[in-house]
Amino acid sequence: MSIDPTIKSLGDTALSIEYGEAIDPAVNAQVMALYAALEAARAENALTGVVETVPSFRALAVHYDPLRIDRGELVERLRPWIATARPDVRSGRAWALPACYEGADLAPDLGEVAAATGLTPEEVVARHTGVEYPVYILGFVPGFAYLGGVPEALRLPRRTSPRTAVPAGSVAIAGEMTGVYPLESPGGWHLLGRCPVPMFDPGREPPVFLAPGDTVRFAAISRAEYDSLRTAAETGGFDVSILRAGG
Amino acid sequence: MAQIRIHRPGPLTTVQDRGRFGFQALGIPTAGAADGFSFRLGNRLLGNPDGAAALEYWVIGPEVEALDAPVRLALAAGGGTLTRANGDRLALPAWRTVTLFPGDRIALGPTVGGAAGYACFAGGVDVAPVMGSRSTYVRAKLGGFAGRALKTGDVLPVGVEVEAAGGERALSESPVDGEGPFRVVLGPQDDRFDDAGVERFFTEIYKISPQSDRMGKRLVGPPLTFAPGRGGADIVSDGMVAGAIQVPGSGEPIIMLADRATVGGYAKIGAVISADLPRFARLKPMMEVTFARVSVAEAEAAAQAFEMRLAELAAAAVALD
Repeated sequence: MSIDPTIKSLGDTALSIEYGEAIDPAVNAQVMALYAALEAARAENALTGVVETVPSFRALAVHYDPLRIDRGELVERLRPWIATARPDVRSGRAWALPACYEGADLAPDLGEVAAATGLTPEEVVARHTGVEYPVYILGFVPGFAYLGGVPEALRLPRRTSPRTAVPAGSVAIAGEMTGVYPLESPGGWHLLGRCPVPMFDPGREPPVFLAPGDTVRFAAISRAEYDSLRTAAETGGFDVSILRAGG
Repeated sequence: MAQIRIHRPGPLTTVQDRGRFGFQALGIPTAGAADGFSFRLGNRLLGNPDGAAALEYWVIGPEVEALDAPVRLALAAGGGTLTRANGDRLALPAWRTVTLFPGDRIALGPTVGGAAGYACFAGGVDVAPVMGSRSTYVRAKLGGFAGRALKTGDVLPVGVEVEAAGGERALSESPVDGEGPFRVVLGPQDDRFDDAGVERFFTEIYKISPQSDRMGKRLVGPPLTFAPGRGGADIVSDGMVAGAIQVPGSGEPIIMLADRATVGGYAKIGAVISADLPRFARLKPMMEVTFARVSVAEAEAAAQAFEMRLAELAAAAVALD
Protein backbone atom coordinates (compact mmCIF):
# COMPACT_ATOMS: atom_id res chain seq x y z
CA MET A 1 0.00 0.00 0.00
CA SER A 2 1.25 3.49 -0.64
CA ILE A 3 0.05 6.96 0.27
CA ASP A 4 -0.28 9.73 -2.32
CA PRO A 5 1.62 12.74 -1.01
CA THR A 6 0.68 16.41 -1.13
CA ILE A 7 3.33 18.67 -2.64
CA LYS A 8 3.68 22.10 -1.05
CA SER A 9 6.09 24.98 -1.52
CA LEU A 10 8.67 26.07 1.05
CA GLY A 11 9.41 29.41 -0.59
CA ASP A 12 11.14 29.21 -3.98
CA THR A 13 14.00 26.95 -2.83
CA ALA A 14 12.30 23.81 -1.52
CA LEU A 15 9.28 21.56 -1.86
CA SER A 16 7.68 19.78 1.06
CA ILE A 17 6.37 16.39 -0.04
CA GLU A 18 3.93 15.51 2.72
CA TYR A 19 2.63 12.01 3.44
CA GLY A 20 0.59 12.90 6.53
CA GLU A 21 0.16 15.20 9.50
CA ALA A 22 0.94 12.92 12.44
CA ILE A 23 3.79 10.75 13.72
CA ASP A 24 2.93 7.39 12.19
CA PRO A 25 5.36 4.60 11.25
CA ALA A 26 3.54 3.94 7.95
CA VAL A 27 3.76 7.63 6.98
CA ASN A 28 7.43 7.81 7.98
CA ALA A 29 8.20 4.65 6.00
CA GLN A 30 6.87 6.37 2.87
CA VAL A 31 9.02 9.43 3.57
CA MET A 32 12.08 7.25 4.03
CA ALA A 33 11.35 5.28 0.85
CA LEU A 34 11.22 8.47 -1.21
CA TYR A 35 14.31 9.84 0.58
CA ALA A 36 16.27 6.68 -0.28
CA ALA A 37 15.07 6.74 -3.91
CA LEU A 38 15.88 10.43 -4.46
CA GLU A 39 19.28 10.21 -2.78
CA ALA A 40 20.12 7.22 -5.00
CA ALA A 41 19.02 9.24 -8.04
CA ARG A 42 21.10 12.22 -6.90
CA ALA A 43 24.15 9.99 -6.49
CA GLU A 44 23.79 9.19 -10.20
CA ASN A 45 23.36 12.89 -11.07
CA ALA A 46 19.82 12.19 -12.24
CA LEU A 47 18.27 15.16 -10.39
CA THR A 48 19.83 18.34 -11.73
CA GLY A 49 19.29 21.34 -9.50
CA VAL A 50 18.37 19.36 -6.36
CA VAL A 51 20.72 20.48 -3.58
CA GLU A 52 19.75 17.98 -0.88
CA THR A 53 16.74 16.14 0.49
CA VAL A 54 15.85 16.16 4.18
CA PRO A 55 13.42 13.67 5.72
CA SER A 56 11.24 14.52 8.71
CA PHE A 57 8.55 12.47 10.45
CA ARG A 58 5.91 12.97 7.81
CA ALA A 59 7.43 14.89 4.90
CA LEU A 60 10.48 15.04 2.68
CA ALA A 61 11.94 18.50 2.02
CA VAL A 62 13.52 18.67 -1.43
CA HIS A 63 15.89 21.67 -1.51
CA TYR A 64 16.65 22.97 -5.00
CA ASP A 65 18.34 25.84 -6.81
CA PRO A 66 15.65 27.94 -8.54
CA LEU A 67 18.30 29.21 -11.00
CA ARG A 68 18.81 25.67 -12.28
CA ILE A 69 15.30 24.21 -12.21
CA ASP A 70 11.86 25.73 -11.70
CA ARG A 71 9.16 24.32 -9.47
CA GLY A 72 6.98 22.98 -12.27
CA GLU A 73 9.82 21.17 -13.97
CA LEU A 74 11.07 19.75 -10.65
CA VAL A 75 7.63 18.37 -9.76
CA GLU A 76 7.44 16.65 -13.17
CA ARG A 77 10.94 15.23 -12.67
CA LEU A 78 10.01 13.90 -9.22
CA ARG A 79 6.74 12.25 -10.24
CA PRO A 80 8.18 8.90 -11.39
CA TRP A 81 10.04 8.48 -8.11
CA ILE A 82 7.01 9.51 -6.07
CA ALA A 83 4.90 6.99 -7.99
CA THR A 84 7.34 4.12 -7.50
CA ALA A 85 8.91 4.68 -4.07
CA ARG A 86 7.54 1.92 -1.85
CA PRO A 87 8.31 1.31 1.81
CA ASP A 88 10.63 -1.65 1.91
CA VAL A 89 11.86 -3.82 4.70
CA ARG A 90 13.89 -1.38 6.78
CA SER A 91 17.29 -1.16 5.17
CA GLY A 92 18.91 0.82 7.99
CA ARG A 93 21.58 -0.41 10.36
CA ALA A 94 20.98 -1.65 13.91
CA TRP A 95 22.96 -0.04 16.74
CA ALA A 96 23.41 -0.85 20.44
CA LEU A 97 24.16 2.31 22.41
CA PRO A 98 25.69 1.96 25.87
CA ALA A 99 23.96 4.01 28.57
CA CYS A 100 24.66 4.34 32.28
CA TYR A 101 21.45 4.70 34.31
CA GLU A 102 23.17 5.28 37.67
CA GLY A 103 23.66 8.22 39.98
CA ALA A 104 22.12 11.63 40.47
CA ASP A 105 24.69 13.19 38.10
CA LEU A 106 24.15 10.83 35.15
CA ALA A 107 20.49 9.90 35.74
CA PRO A 108 18.96 12.94 37.47
CA ASP A 109 15.32 12.25 36.54
CA LEU A 110 15.23 8.45 36.93
CA GLY A 111 13.63 8.68 40.37
CA GLU A 112 11.00 11.20 39.27
CA VAL A 113 10.14 9.15 36.20
CA ALA A 114 9.78 6.05 38.37
CA ALA A 115 7.47 7.94 40.74
CA ALA A 116 5.39 9.40 37.90
CA THR A 117 4.97 6.06 36.14
CA GLY A 118 4.45 3.94 39.25
CA LEU A 119 7.43 1.75 38.37
CA THR A 120 10.68 1.09 40.22
CA PRO A 121 13.84 2.69 38.75
CA GLU A 122 14.97 -0.82 37.75
CA GLU A 123 11.68 -1.37 35.88
CA VAL A 124 12.06 1.99 34.08
CA VAL A 125 15.54 0.96 32.90
CA ALA A 126 14.33 -2.51 31.89
CA ARG A 127 11.56 -1.01 29.79
CA HIS A 128 13.77 1.66 28.23
CA THR A 129 16.39 -0.92 27.24
CA GLY A 130 13.82 -3.52 26.21
CA VAL A 131 12.75 -1.94 22.93
CA GLU A 132 14.32 -1.42 19.51
CA TYR A 133 13.68 2.20 18.50
CA PRO A 134 13.55 3.39 14.89
CA VAL A 135 15.49 6.58 14.06
CA TYR A 136 12.74 8.80 12.62
CA ILE A 137 14.76 11.91 11.88
CA LEU A 138 17.80 13.88 12.94
CA GLY A 139 17.31 17.52 13.86
CA PHE A 140 17.05 20.11 16.65
CA VAL A 141 20.85 20.19 17.00
CA PRO A 142 23.50 18.30 14.96
CA GLY A 143 23.23 14.57 15.56
CA PHE A 144 20.06 14.59 17.68
CA ALA A 145 18.18 11.47 16.58
CA TYR A 146 14.46 11.31 17.35
CA LEU A 147 13.88 7.68 18.34
CA GLY A 148 10.23 6.63 18.31
CA GLY A 149 8.25 3.92 20.02
CA VAL A 150 8.86 4.50 23.74
CA PRO A 151 6.81 1.90 25.68
CA GLU A 152 3.39 3.20 26.81
CA ALA A 153 4.32 2.82 30.48
CA LEU A 154 7.14 5.37 30.10
CA ARG A 155 5.27 8.04 28.13
CA LEU A 156 5.26 11.33 30.05
CA PRO A 157 4.71 14.93 28.96
CA ARG A 158 7.79 17.13 28.83
CA ARG A 159 9.03 18.70 32.04
CA THR A 160 6.92 21.73 32.93
CA SER A 161 10.07 23.79 33.34
CA PRO A 162 12.75 22.97 30.74
CA ARG A 163 16.38 22.93 31.84
CA THR A 164 18.55 25.68 30.41
CA ALA A 165 21.48 23.27 30.05
CA VAL A 166 21.13 19.52 29.56
CA PRO A 167 24.57 17.81 29.58
CA ALA A 168 25.85 16.32 26.33
CA GLY A 169 25.25 12.56 26.23
CA SER A 170 22.04 12.69 28.27
CA VAL A 171 19.66 9.85 27.41
CA ALA A 172 16.17 11.29 27.65
CA ILE A 173 12.49 10.55 27.09
CA ALA A 174 9.42 12.68 26.28
CA GLY A 175 6.08 11.29 25.10
CA GLU A 176 6.69 8.51 22.59
CA MET A 177 10.20 9.78 21.79
CA THR A 178 13.60 9.04 23.25
CA GLY A 179 17.03 10.33 22.25
CA VAL A 180 20.57 11.29 23.25
CA TYR A 181 21.54 14.97 23.51
CA PRO A 182 24.64 15.41 21.30
CA LEU A 183 25.64 18.79 22.74
CA GLU A 184 24.93 20.67 25.92
CA SER A 185 21.68 22.43 25.06
CA PRO A 186 18.43 23.58 26.62
CA GLY A 187 15.87 20.81 26.92
CA GLY A 188 12.63 19.71 28.52
CA TRP A 189 12.96 15.93 28.27
CA HIS A 190 13.40 13.60 31.27
CA LEU A 191 17.01 12.49 31.77
CA LEU A 192 17.25 8.75 32.45
CA GLY A 193 20.96 8.18 31.95
CA ARG A 194 24.10 9.09 30.05
CA CYS A 195 25.67 7.68 26.88
CA PRO A 196 29.50 7.89 26.80
CA VAL A 197 29.74 7.90 22.99
CA PRO A 198 29.52 11.36 21.34
CA MET A 199 26.54 11.54 18.98
CA PHE A 200 28.24 14.40 17.12
CA ASP A 201 31.98 14.84 16.69
CA PRO A 202 33.15 17.05 13.81
CA GLY A 203 36.62 15.49 14.05
CA ARG A 204 35.27 11.95 13.53
CA GLU A 205 34.44 10.34 10.21
CA PRO A 206 31.47 10.28 10.06
CA PRO A 207 30.66 13.14 12.48
CA VAL A 208 27.15 11.71 12.98
CA PHE A 209 26.83 7.92 12.79
CA LEU A 210 23.08 7.43 13.28
CA ALA A 211 20.97 7.93 10.17
CA PRO A 212 17.24 8.04 9.50
CA GLY A 213 16.01 4.47 9.00
CA ASP A 214 18.50 2.94 11.47
CA THR A 215 17.35 1.27 14.68
CA VAL A 216 18.76 1.75 18.18
CA ARG A 217 18.61 -0.37 21.32
CA PHE A 218 20.07 0.92 24.60
CA ALA A 219 22.35 -1.36 26.64
CA ALA A 220 22.73 -0.60 30.36
CA ILE A 221 26.34 -0.29 31.51
CA SER A 222 27.94 0.23 34.93
CA ARG A 223 29.57 3.47 36.02
CA ALA A 224 33.01 1.81 35.65
CA GLU A 225 32.20 0.86 32.05
CA TYR A 226 30.85 4.35 31.43
CA ASP A 227 34.06 5.94 32.73
CA SER A 228 36.27 3.71 30.63
CA LEU A 229 34.24 4.27 27.43
CA ARG A 230 34.18 8.00 28.15
CA THR A 231 37.99 8.04 28.42
CA ALA A 232 38.31 6.08 25.17
CA ALA A 233 35.92 8.49 23.41
CA GLU A 234 37.77 11.55 24.71
CA THR A 235 41.17 10.25 23.61
CA GLY A 236 39.86 9.32 20.17
CA GLY A 237 40.43 5.60 20.79
CA PHE A 238 36.85 4.56 20.18
CA ASP A 239 35.51 3.10 16.98
CA VAL A 240 31.73 3.56 16.69
CA SER A 241 31.47 0.58 14.33
CA ILE A 242 31.68 -1.74 17.37
CA LEU A 243 28.24 -0.41 18.33
CA ARG A 244 26.68 -2.13 15.31
CA ALA A 245 24.37 -4.78 16.69
CA GLY A 246 24.73 -8.29 15.31
CA GLY A 247 27.33 -7.08 12.84
CA MET B 1 50.56 31.89 2.43
CA ALA B 2 49.48 35.27 3.76
CA GLN B 3 48.09 35.59 7.26
CA ILE B 4 45.98 38.10 9.17
CA ARG B 5 45.78 38.77 12.90
CA ILE B 6 42.59 39.90 14.64
CA HIS B 7 42.95 42.75 17.12
CA ARG B 8 39.51 43.90 18.27
CA PRO B 9 37.06 41.23 17.08
CA GLY B 10 33.74 43.15 17.18
CA PRO B 11 30.60 41.68 18.79
CA LEU B 12 30.17 38.71 16.43
CA THR B 13 32.73 38.12 13.70
CA THR B 14 32.74 34.66 12.10
CA VAL B 15 34.15 32.97 9.02
CA GLN B 16 31.31 32.23 6.56
CA ASP B 17 30.97 30.91 3.03
CA ARG B 18 27.77 30.02 1.15
CA GLY B 19 26.91 27.33 3.70
CA ARG B 20 27.24 23.65 4.50
CA PHE B 21 24.83 21.77 2.27
CA GLY B 22 24.26 18.02 2.12
CA PHE B 23 24.17 17.27 5.86
CA GLN B 24 20.78 18.60 6.96
CA ALA B 25 19.48 15.00 7.04
CA LEU B 26 21.95 14.50 9.94
CA GLY B 27 20.55 17.56 11.73
CA ILE B 28 23.43 19.81 10.73
CA PRO B 29 22.31 23.36 9.90
CA THR B 30 23.69 24.99 6.76
CA ALA B 31 24.92 28.21 8.44
CA GLY B 32 26.64 30.39 5.78
CA ALA B 33 26.68 34.13 5.02
CA ALA B 34 23.45 35.74 6.25
CA ASP B 35 23.46 38.47 3.58
CA GLY B 36 24.31 36.62 0.38
CA PHE B 37 24.15 39.79 -1.71
CA SER B 38 26.87 41.76 0.11
CA PHE B 39 28.98 38.63 0.60
CA ARG B 40 28.92 37.67 -3.08
CA LEU B 41 29.37 41.20 -4.40
CA GLY B 42 32.42 41.65 -2.15
CA ASN B 43 33.92 38.47 -3.55
CA ARG B 44 33.19 39.58 -7.11
CA LEU B 45 35.01 42.89 -6.55
CA LEU B 46 38.13 40.78 -5.94
CA GLY B 47 37.54 38.36 -8.80
CA ASN B 48 36.97 35.56 -6.25
CA PRO B 49 34.53 32.73 -6.79
CA ASP B 50 31.17 33.58 -5.13
CA GLY B 51 31.73 31.00 -2.40
CA ALA B 52 35.15 32.18 -1.14
CA ALA B 53 35.05 32.36 2.66
CA ALA B 54 34.91 35.85 4.21
CA LEU B 55 34.68 37.43 7.64
CA GLU B 56 31.08 38.32 8.49
CA TYR B 57 30.54 40.98 11.16
CA TRP B 58 27.56 42.78 12.65
CA VAL B 59 27.62 46.60 12.73
CA ILE B 60 31.16 46.87 14.14
CA GLY B 61 33.82 44.73 12.51
CA PRO B 62 37.20 43.45 13.60
CA GLU B 63 40.53 45.24 13.36
CA VAL B 64 42.64 43.17 10.98
CA GLU B 65 46.43 43.30 10.56
CA ALA B 66 48.40 41.86 7.64
CA LEU B 67 51.30 39.81 9.03
CA ASP B 68 54.03 38.61 6.68
CA ALA B 69 52.70 39.22 3.18
CA PRO B 70 50.39 41.66 1.40
CA VAL B 71 46.67 40.90 1.68
CA ARG B 72 43.94 42.33 -0.52
CA LEU B 73 40.43 42.65 0.83
CA ALA B 74 37.09 44.02 -0.29
CA LEU B 75 35.05 46.17 2.10
CA ALA B 76 31.51 44.91 1.53
CA ALA B 77 28.61 46.80 3.14
CA GLY B 78 30.87 48.67 5.56
CA GLY B 79 33.92 50.94 5.32
CA GLY B 80 37.01 50.97 7.48
CA THR B 81 39.82 53.01 9.00
CA LEU B 82 43.18 52.05 7.56
CA THR B 83 46.35 52.61 9.59
CA ARG B 84 49.52 52.05 7.58
CA ALA B 85 52.59 50.60 9.31
CA ASN B 86 54.15 54.12 9.24
CA GLY B 87 51.20 55.58 11.17
CA ASP B 88 49.33 57.21 8.24
CA ARG B 89 45.57 56.97 8.71
CA LEU B 90 42.89 56.94 6.06
CA ALA B 91 39.12 56.50 6.24
CA LEU B 92 37.89 54.23 3.45
CA PRO B 93 34.28 53.98 2.23
CA ALA B 94 32.46 50.69 1.71
CA TRP B 95 32.46 48.84 -1.60
CA ARG B 96 36.09 49.07 -2.58
CA THR B 97 39.18 46.89 -2.37
CA VAL B 98 42.33 47.78 -0.45
CA THR B 99 45.69 46.07 -0.05
CA LEU B 100 47.26 45.74 3.39
CA PHE B 101 51.04 45.42 3.54
CA PRO B 102 52.78 43.76 6.51
CA GLY B 103 52.09 45.81 9.62
CA ASP B 104 49.11 47.69 8.11
CA ARG B 105 45.84 47.47 10.02
CA ILE B 106 42.24 48.18 9.12
CA ALA B 107 39.40 48.67 11.62
CA LEU B 108 36.26 47.51 9.81
CA GLY B 109 32.80 49.01 10.14
CA PRO B 110 30.42 50.40 10.96
CA THR B 111 28.15 48.81 8.37
CA VAL B 112 26.20 50.95 5.92
CA GLY B 113 22.56 50.34 5.01
CA GLY B 114 22.09 47.38 7.34
CA ALA B 115 23.63 45.38 10.17
CA ALA B 116 25.71 42.81 8.24
CA GLY B 117 29.16 43.56 6.83
CA TYR B 118 31.80 41.44 5.14
CA ALA B 119 35.55 41.56 4.72
CA CYS B 120 36.27 39.41 1.68
CA PHE B 121 39.88 38.43 0.94
CA ALA B 122 41.52 37.72 -2.42
CA GLY B 123 41.57 33.93 -2.55
CA GLY B 124 39.27 33.67 0.49
CA VAL B 125 39.84 32.97 4.18
CA ASP B 126 41.65 29.64 4.05
CA VAL B 127 40.60 27.84 7.24
CA ALA B 128 40.20 24.08 6.81
CA PRO B 129 36.79 23.08 5.40
CA VAL B 130 34.67 20.89 7.69
CA MET B 131 32.09 18.75 5.91
CA GLY B 132 32.68 20.63 2.69
CA SER B 133 32.32 24.16 4.08
CA ARG B 134 34.28 26.84 5.92
CA SER B 135 31.13 28.32 7.50
CA THR B 136 31.06 28.66 11.28
CA TYR B 137 28.11 27.19 13.17
CA VAL B 138 28.83 28.53 16.64
CA ARG B 139 26.16 26.56 18.52
CA ALA B 140 27.86 23.25 17.64
CA LYS B 141 31.41 24.68 17.57
CA LEU B 142 31.55 23.53 13.95
CA GLY B 143 33.69 24.84 11.07
CA GLY B 144 35.20 28.28 10.56
CA PHE B 145 38.04 29.21 12.92
CA ALA B 146 37.96 26.76 15.86
CA GLY B 147 34.16 26.62 15.53
CA ARG B 148 33.72 29.99 17.23
CA ALA B 149 33.48 33.75 16.81
CA LEU B 150 36.88 35.40 16.38
CA LYS B 151 38.84 36.75 19.34
CA THR B 152 41.76 39.12 19.76
CA GLY B 153 45.02 37.43 18.81
CA ASP B 154 43.55 34.89 16.36
CA VAL B 155 45.72 34.38 13.27
CA LEU B 156 43.98 33.19 10.10
CA PRO B 157 45.42 32.12 6.73
CA VAL B 158 44.08 33.94 3.69
CA GLY B 159 44.15 32.78 0.08
CA VAL B 160 46.44 34.13 -2.57
CA GLU B 161 49.39 36.48 -2.37
CA VAL B 162 48.70 39.70 -4.23
CA GLU B 163 50.89 41.81 -6.44
CA ALA B 164 52.66 44.65 -4.66
CA ALA B 165 50.37 47.55 -5.57
CA GLY B 166 47.67 48.75 -7.90
CA GLY B 167 44.61 47.02 -9.22
CA GLU B 168 42.18 48.30 -6.60
CA ARG B 169 38.54 48.40 -7.70
CA ALA B 170 35.42 50.09 -6.38
CA LEU B 171 31.72 50.48 -7.01
CA SER B 172 30.87 54.03 -8.00
CA GLU B 173 27.69 54.07 -5.90
CA SER B 174 26.12 52.08 -3.07
CA PRO B 175 24.53 48.99 -4.57
CA VAL B 176 20.83 48.30 -4.04
CA ASP B 177 19.38 44.81 -4.35
CA GLY B 178 15.72 45.69 -3.87
CA GLU B 179 13.26 47.78 -1.93
CA GLY B 180 9.67 47.80 -0.75
CA PRO B 181 7.69 44.99 0.83
CA PHE B 182 9.39 41.65 1.36
CA ARG B 183 7.88 39.14 -1.02
CA VAL B 184 6.50 35.91 0.44
CA VAL B 185 5.35 32.59 -1.04
CA LEU B 186 2.53 31.13 1.08
CA GLY B 187 2.77 27.72 2.72
CA PRO B 188 3.21 25.03 3.68
CA GLN B 189 0.89 25.62 6.69
CA ASP B 190 -0.96 28.78 5.63
CA ASP B 191 -4.20 26.79 6.03
CA ARG B 192 -3.66 26.79 9.82
CA PHE B 193 -4.45 30.54 9.89
CA ASP B 194 -7.84 32.22 9.54
CA ASP B 195 -8.42 34.57 6.59
CA ALA B 196 -8.03 37.61 8.84
CA GLY B 197 -4.67 36.27 10.07
CA VAL B 198 -3.31 35.86 6.55
CA GLU B 199 -4.71 39.25 5.51
CA ARG B 200 -3.16 40.92 8.56
CA PHE B 201 0.29 39.58 7.75
CA PHE B 202 0.18 41.22 4.32
CA THR B 203 -1.27 44.58 5.40
CA GLU B 204 0.21 45.42 8.80
CA ILE B 205 3.61 46.96 9.56
CA TYR B 206 5.96 44.84 11.66
CA LYS B 207 9.13 45.80 13.50
CA ILE B 208 12.31 43.75 13.77
CA SER B 209 12.70 42.68 17.41
CA PRO B 210 16.02 43.17 19.21
CA GLN B 211 15.71 39.43 19.96
CA SER B 212 17.16 38.59 16.56
CA ASP B 213 20.36 36.82 15.58
CA ARG B 214 21.87 34.67 12.83
CA MET B 215 19.29 31.98 13.60
CA GLY B 216 16.27 34.15 12.99
CA LYS B 217 14.54 37.49 13.35
CA ARG B 218 11.44 37.93 15.48
CA LEU B 219 8.78 40.35 14.32
CA VAL B 220 6.89 42.64 16.68
CA GLY B 221 3.40 43.60 15.56
CA PRO B 222 -0.22 42.49 15.43
CA PRO B 223 -0.34 38.76 16.24
CA LEU B 224 -1.59 36.41 13.54
CA THR B 225 -4.68 34.39 14.38
CA PHE B 226 -5.24 30.70 13.80
CA ALA B 227 -8.38 29.15 12.32
CA PRO B 228 -10.33 27.09 14.86
CA GLY B 229 -10.05 23.32 14.48
CA ARG B 230 -7.06 23.35 12.17
CA GLY B 231 -4.46 22.38 14.76
CA GLY B 232 -3.12 25.79 15.76
CA ALA B 233 0.56 26.67 15.93
CA ASP B 234 2.08 23.29 16.75
CA ILE B 235 2.86 20.87 13.92
CA VAL B 236 4.77 17.62 13.78
CA SER B 237 8.19 19.04 12.88
CA ASP B 238 8.98 19.24 9.19
CA GLY B 239 11.63 20.74 6.90
CA MET B 240 12.90 24.29 7.00
CA VAL B 241 14.39 26.81 4.60
CA ALA B 242 16.10 30.16 5.09
CA GLY B 243 13.27 32.70 4.98
CA ALA B 244 10.64 30.37 6.46
CA ILE B 245 8.13 32.31 8.56
CA GLN B 246 7.31 30.28 11.68
CA VAL B 247 4.42 31.40 13.85
CA PRO B 248 4.34 30.09 17.44
CA GLY B 249 1.23 30.21 19.61
CA SER B 250 1.82 33.87 20.51
CA GLY B 251 1.04 34.71 16.86
CA GLU B 252 4.20 36.77 16.43
CA PRO B 253 6.19 35.56 13.41
CA ILE B 254 9.83 34.45 13.50
CA ILE B 255 11.72 34.48 10.19
CA MET B 256 14.41 31.82 10.02
CA LEU B 257 17.90 32.70 8.73
CA ALA B 258 21.31 31.11 8.13
CA ASP B 259 21.72 29.34 11.51
CA ARG B 260 18.16 27.92 11.56
CA ALA B 261 17.63 24.35 12.76
CA THR B 262 17.04 21.77 10.02
CA VAL B 263 13.43 21.14 11.08
CA GLY B 264 10.85 23.15 12.99
CA GLY B 265 7.69 22.48 14.95
CA TYR B 266 5.68 25.68 14.43
CA ALA B 267 3.26 26.38 11.59
CA LYS B 268 4.87 28.22 8.68
CA ILE B 269 2.58 30.75 7.03
CA GLY B 270 5.05 31.17 4.18
CA ALA B 271 8.64 31.96 3.28
CA VAL B 272 10.44 35.14 2.24
CA ILE B 273 11.64 34.54 -1.34
CA SER B 274 15.33 33.91 -2.00
CA ALA B 275 15.80 37.20 -3.89
CA ASP B 276 14.63 39.25 -0.89
CA LEU B 277 16.35 37.26 1.85
CA PRO B 278 19.73 39.09 1.80
CA ARG B 279 18.13 42.48 2.40
CA PHE B 280 15.88 41.00 5.06
CA ALA B 281 18.82 39.35 6.86
CA ARG B 282 20.69 42.64 7.16
CA LEU B 283 17.82 44.60 8.76
CA LYS B 284 18.60 46.25 12.07
CA PRO B 285 16.40 45.95 15.18
CA MET B 286 13.40 48.30 15.27
CA MET B 287 13.36 48.72 11.48
CA GLU B 288 9.84 48.51 10.02
CA VAL B 289 8.85 45.95 7.40
CA THR B 290 5.85 44.96 5.31
CA PHE B 291 5.18 41.81 3.32
CA ALA B 292 3.60 41.10 -0.06
CA ARG B 293 2.26 37.80 -1.36
CA VAL B 294 3.71 36.48 -4.64
CA SER B 295 3.46 33.26 -6.64
CA VAL B 296 6.34 30.79 -6.99
CA ALA B 297 6.66 31.87 -10.66
CA GLU B 298 7.10 35.49 -9.56
CA ALA B 299 9.68 34.38 -7.00
CA GLU B 300 11.57 32.46 -9.68
CA ALA B 301 11.62 35.51 -11.96
CA ALA B 302 12.85 37.58 -9.01
CA ALA B 303 15.67 35.07 -8.38
CA GLN B 304 16.81 35.44 -12.00
CA ALA B 305 16.59 39.25 -11.78
CA PHE B 306 18.64 39.17 -8.58
CA GLU B 307 21.46 37.30 -10.35
CA MET B 308 21.37 39.77 -13.26
CA ARG B 309 21.54 42.69 -10.85
CA LEU B 310 24.53 41.18 -9.03
CA ALA B 311 26.35 40.61 -12.34
CA GLU B 312 25.60 44.17 -13.56
CA LEU B 313 26.86 45.71 -10.33
CA ALA B 314 30.07 43.67 -10.36
CA ALA B 315 30.64 44.53 -14.04
CA ALA B 316 30.19 48.26 -13.29
CA ALA B 317 33.08 48.33 -10.77
CA VAL B 318 35.80 50.78 -11.77
CA ALA B 319 39.58 50.71 -11.35
CA LEU B 320 40.77 53.14 -8.66
CA ASP B 321 44.28 53.75 -9.94
